[in-house]
Amino acid sequence: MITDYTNYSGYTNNNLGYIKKNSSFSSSKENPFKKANEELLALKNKAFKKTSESVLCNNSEINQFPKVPEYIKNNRDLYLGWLGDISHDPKYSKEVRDTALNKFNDLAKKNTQAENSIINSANDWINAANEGERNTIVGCTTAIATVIGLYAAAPAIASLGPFLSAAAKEALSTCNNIQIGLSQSGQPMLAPAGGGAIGSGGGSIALNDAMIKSLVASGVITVAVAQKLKPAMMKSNETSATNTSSQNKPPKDLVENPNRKGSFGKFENGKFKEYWRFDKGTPGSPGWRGKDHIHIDGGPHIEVK
Amino acid sequence: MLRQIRDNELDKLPLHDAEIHSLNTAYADDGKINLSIRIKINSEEIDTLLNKFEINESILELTFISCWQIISDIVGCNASREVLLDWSVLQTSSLIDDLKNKGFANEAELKHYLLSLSGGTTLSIIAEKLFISGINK
Repeated sequence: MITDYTNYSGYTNNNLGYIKKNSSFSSSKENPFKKANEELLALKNKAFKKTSESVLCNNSEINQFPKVPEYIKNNRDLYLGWLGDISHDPKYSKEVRDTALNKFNDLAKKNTQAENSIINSANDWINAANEGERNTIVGCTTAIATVIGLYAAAPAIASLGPFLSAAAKEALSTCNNIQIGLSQSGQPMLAPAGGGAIGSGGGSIALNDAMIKSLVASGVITVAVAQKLKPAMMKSNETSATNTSSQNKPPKDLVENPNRKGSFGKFENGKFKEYWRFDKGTPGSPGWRGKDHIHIDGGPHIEVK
Repeated sequence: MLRQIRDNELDKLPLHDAEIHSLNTAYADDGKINLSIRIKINSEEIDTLLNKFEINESILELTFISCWQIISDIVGCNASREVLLDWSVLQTSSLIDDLKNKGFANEAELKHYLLSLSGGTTLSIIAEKLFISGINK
């Protein structure tokens, strides 16, 4: 809003760029600076109009839901964050913000259901194997059925795949990796084929000590998972808990930030570029501050258990 | 809207991994100094901000009112923005003790805020109050 001060008698403040009125003129009609002020006002109005047009031009886009950027399409956390940002961004219309919020809530709800299902299934499987205490998953029919159910649900899970949380991905990956491990060890794999028949060989599948160690050594499963499968063996032979998981340690080609412990990266153009960071949680604090976690290449929080 | 943050609320603020955008120190005619830190809340923490503090904006300003001393070790060696890692009010503070021993701030209730950032930056702020406000982008 531009105020016309050209007819304002006695105006002396030129903070806005107006030419001071000569105090000897009592009326604006006599003001010899009127023309100059009018020209100045016209210029300011022109500038104001241009700015408004510019804003209006940008505002024409506020009712359109923005296109999903390529780089976040396959990253669930970035996608949710992107929706969250839009839902709070006043530059978008209420309609767009509400749409973003609805998408966010909808996806978060679907993810929670799918993730809980996956995590529970994986935990059931691990617990059942653990409860067997025979280093074997033979006979753990409930657990086997769970895994089979998990694989049967694979198409639905796959459709949410890019948007699964790290915990759900890890649970799903554990099941997949154990299959791979079984395969590499020359053992029959679990499969949903045959209405519940177990594996291609259909025989017993035993995770013996050597197999578990092999799976850990090859990085297929973490020590934590192995401990659940066979606590006694892993306690005696492995002292570290989850630290053998490759993700929980900084890659070897990185150096520690001289200014901060736990931050690892590379020197690039004389500056420190962080690629991996461990944040120690403060127990009792809300959110991620309360949990031990890592960040990889500035990405989302990954809990360290 | 400015909102004062009490000591018992400070821990509940979802400031972890908030990006640091700027620090601004303002001097008043009467010698008072206010320090404002502009931050962007991490997207994974924003729900807490909305639900517990009813703040809609993701960009916030932390304003430390009436600072008596600010000790900063700001590291400019990083290739990206630093984020806030830890923040607290110290229960005992040698900086406050020193000020009082020198005769300063006899009637003021001082607090020692300690902030640590991801790249090694640390800020010690002796101030009377902390306010927070959402910033419209």
